[in-house]
Amino acid sequence: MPLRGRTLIENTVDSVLDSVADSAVVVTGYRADEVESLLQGHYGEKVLLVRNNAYAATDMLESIRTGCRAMPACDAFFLLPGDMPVIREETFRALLARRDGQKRIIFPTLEGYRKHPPLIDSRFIPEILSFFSEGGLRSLWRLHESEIIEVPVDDAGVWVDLDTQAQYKQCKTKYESEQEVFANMEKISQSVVKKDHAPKIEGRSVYVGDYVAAKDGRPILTGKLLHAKVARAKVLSVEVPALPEGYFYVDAKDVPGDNNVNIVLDDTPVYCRETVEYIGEPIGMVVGPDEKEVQRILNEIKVEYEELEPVLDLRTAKQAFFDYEFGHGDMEKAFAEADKVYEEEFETGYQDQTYLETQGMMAEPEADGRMFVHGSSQCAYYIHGAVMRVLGCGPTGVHVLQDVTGGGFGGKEAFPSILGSQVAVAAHKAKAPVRCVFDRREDLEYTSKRHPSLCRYKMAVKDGRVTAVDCDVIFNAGAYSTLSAVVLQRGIIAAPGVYNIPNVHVRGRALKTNTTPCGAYRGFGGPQTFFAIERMMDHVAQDLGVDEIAFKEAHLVKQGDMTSTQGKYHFPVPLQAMIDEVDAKCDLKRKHEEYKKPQTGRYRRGMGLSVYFHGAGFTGSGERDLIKAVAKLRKYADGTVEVLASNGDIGQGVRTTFPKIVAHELNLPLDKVYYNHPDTARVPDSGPTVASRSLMVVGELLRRAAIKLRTIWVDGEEQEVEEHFKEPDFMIPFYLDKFQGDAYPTYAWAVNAIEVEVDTCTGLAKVLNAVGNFDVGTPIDYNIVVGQMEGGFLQGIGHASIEKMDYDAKGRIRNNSFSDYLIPTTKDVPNLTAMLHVEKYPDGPYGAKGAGEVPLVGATSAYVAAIEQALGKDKHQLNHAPFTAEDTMKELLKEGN
Amino acid sequence: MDAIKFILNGKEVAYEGSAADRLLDVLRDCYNCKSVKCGCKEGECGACSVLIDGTLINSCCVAMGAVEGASILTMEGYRETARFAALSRAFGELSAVQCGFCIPGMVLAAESVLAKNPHPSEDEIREGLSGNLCRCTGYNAIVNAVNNAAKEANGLW
Repeated sequence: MPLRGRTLIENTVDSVLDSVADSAVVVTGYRADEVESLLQGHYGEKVLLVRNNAYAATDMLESIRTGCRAMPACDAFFLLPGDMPVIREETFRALLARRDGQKRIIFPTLEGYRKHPPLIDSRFIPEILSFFSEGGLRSLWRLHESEIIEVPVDDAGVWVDLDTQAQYKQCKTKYESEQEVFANMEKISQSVVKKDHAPKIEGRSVYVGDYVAAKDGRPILTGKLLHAKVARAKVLSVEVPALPEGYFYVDAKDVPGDNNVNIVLDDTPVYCRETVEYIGEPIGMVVGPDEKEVQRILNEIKVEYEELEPVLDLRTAKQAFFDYEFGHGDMEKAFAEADKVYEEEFETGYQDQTYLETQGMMAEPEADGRMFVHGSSQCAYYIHGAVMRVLGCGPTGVHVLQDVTGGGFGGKEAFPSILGSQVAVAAHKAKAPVRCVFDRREDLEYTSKRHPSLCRYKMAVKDGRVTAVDCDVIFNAGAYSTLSAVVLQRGIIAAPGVYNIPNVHVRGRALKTNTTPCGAYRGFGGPQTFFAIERMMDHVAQDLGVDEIAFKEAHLVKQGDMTSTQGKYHFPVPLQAMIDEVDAKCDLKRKHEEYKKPQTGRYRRGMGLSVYFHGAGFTGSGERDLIKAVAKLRKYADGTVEVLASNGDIGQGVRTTFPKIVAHELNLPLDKVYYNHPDTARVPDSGPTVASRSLMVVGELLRRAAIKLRTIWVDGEEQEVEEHFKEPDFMIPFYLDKFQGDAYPTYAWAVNAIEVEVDTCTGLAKVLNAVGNFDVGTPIDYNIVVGQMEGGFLQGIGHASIEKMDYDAKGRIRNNSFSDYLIPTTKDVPNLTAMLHVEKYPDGPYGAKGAGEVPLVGATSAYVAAIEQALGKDKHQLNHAPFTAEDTMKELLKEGN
Repeated sequence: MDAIKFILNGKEVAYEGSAADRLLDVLRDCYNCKSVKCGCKEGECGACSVLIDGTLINSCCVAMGAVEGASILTMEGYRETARFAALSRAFGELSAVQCGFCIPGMVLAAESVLAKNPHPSEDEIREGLSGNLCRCTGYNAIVNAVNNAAKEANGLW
């Protein structure tokens, strides 16, 4: 029975020898020869072996006496059963530290219980040898109560003795690293060094801000945007000072085509129309060779506004960009027959993507008349479509390259279409290359972020079960609609959570306010509604007097159940198993129970759980009707193969995982297959780099293309193959007008447990433990996938705890620097664990599903649940996120502390 | 006005511009050290970290006047060293590099940790890297990579 690659007894012996003891006496019995030869070979002199031949007929005390007789001269010894393999070094040290020269027995305690291994003064040995009584050593210690010292330890290892197979299995899950669990994983999951590792770590990768000249060698002009200073106004005039030679002012009048950026709708202007609709809206751009001079000109421009009353309060906002409604069952009946009806309101705030590289785009007019647009981005073809329209040219008039991109997280899905259009217009006017890279303040204030939300939920309960839920979901869209339609769709489809609730009604609205337009951010509407449903389930369970975890478990959906949109969960739903795995990893249930007891000290603890999914790929029929992805492979005469697709590597690793899939199918070394950053002039449209779809959808196209190439492969020839997206046969067609059918082919499932300790004097909360268990199907590269999970999970905890952003009474974002908008550092959550649970998806490559977004979605509800438990659920019902130290202090003040 | 003389990646250089110019801009624009990234220009993110006389410093917060006589190391110089090779290998093995934008600064921060303390604990590594923000990784892979480099490259630091 191996644990961490060694036998159990080796684990046990190692735990003492590696930490504190010079030697160990091991008393053997059952299969003594085997055990002894193993230990002799491994430890030699350091282990003294003695045998209790009568092991089967005697009690443990006899074995202890056997050990004591053989004990070499020493001051004290630890008494440790061989089946307790995971005691921490700190525990041994803590016991040693309490020695005081007296004759002592020093016990570790956990939650008040005395546990193994006691540290026993060797002066007790004669007594042990002569002690024969019922009840073993325990009855001996009863005679020495005054000599006993208890040392509380925080080491769940003292609970672990492996008497049964089940205990052994649980111990394995908990104490083996994931890497060890996956040691025998499939070849495709085994990690490789990423293709872009060397250029990135050496600092040689060229991000858009790093170009020293345009492609043709011409110098690059710097562009800086003139941002509106008021939230809503008519722009009466813009007075530009006399411009030096080589400097330009660019605005809507310079747009050769249509002054509207094509996103979902086309209401976002390239440069403002007659009015500005939010603080920061681009009015124009100053362009020129010297950055400081550009800044000087910008400062001297005078804009005259006629101010209008802005809409800033989401609660009173009226204009809905989108208003959706759907449901099933009989709501009226369910509420009429309910034993009890609950209503609650939930709020979540902004979250900024905070990629380390700010937004930046560059446009270069080429000699043949084409416009070359490139920069930090996720979706080359989105930009291509937008710039075409703005320049009023055909598809061949523009080509777009994704440069090396310093993080996206959704923030570079649509925004680069806007900035790309702006620099393209500027380059068109200046007839020269123009680059605009945002500074951090511009980026934080004026670029799209996660929609703040206001959700009102109403839930009917009968006989202890939830029979109906009515969800009213409102997202703050900001001033233009950008991606709000699709963000809202994903949010409301997830509104009833992962629970089997027979009657559902959902209404979702994206309301206009005069604030920065919100857009895509990892999770895409999911974090808002999952926060609401998860907190609602917790609170209803509390009111019913049942355990929150058990209540959620009793309502989990399972394979074959109907989704909120009357589609079907076609594949196994592994949530219960995933909760059990998390429980084994971090004592979720025991601690959750423990922390329910009233807490009064300065430091109080809580354990929160969230259970959720992320629909894999685009919502609804987008993949089939709009994207229609195409991917190609081109094999060159020298036997190398190039992947041709439009999905950008933004750190998530597709430059590595795409070639891995192709090399795997073609049985080629990985260095023979490569994937460059996409240029729309060279690659087909395999769709945008969004919705956790690249690997699952495009990766599968590439796998099929590779199989095709394998069958027609001829050495020495250049060959090309192409694959087109086909919707899987099992799908129930989705109708957006009715919100009916399969919104997603499959789901990534997740369970998060977060344990916190709140300091009631400062309000600060420490995350003691954050465990996320994620089912994203087969990992195509273990390290890459775990890196996605850990990074996303930490972003989620940031959203839950410290990433607070809001706007003032004028509509100005108040948190425009890293000193005001805090994101997690290395120190914030040192104990963060991502586990992988693999439920393969037959239509994804090798069983892979969407992975990128799921780790972020559930942290807010788990974290806030933990804080609530620490503060005491009877006095505090928490229903907003982020929940900062200030929020905690406000709650405590209510208590009168 | 006299030029500002300093050593950049082992070579003596003389900067003719203003003493008020920002080291970050000068390194990028005059000496083509593009590994030095601008993440915030406010000393908060660490993407522009360089080693000045062995001390990790955000180059966005340093005026050129302050570097007279100093020795400055950026990734352009550090990547030629055996210590870099050890860190690069360790980062590569754990796929600790995602978008890469924070990484040159992060690696210099790791160098700064190990130069002071060749066998740091995990807490000490986390402390030493805490001024360098990374939004992609959640930091585990980076911290583990620095730990592995310290263990495997015995004697380099």
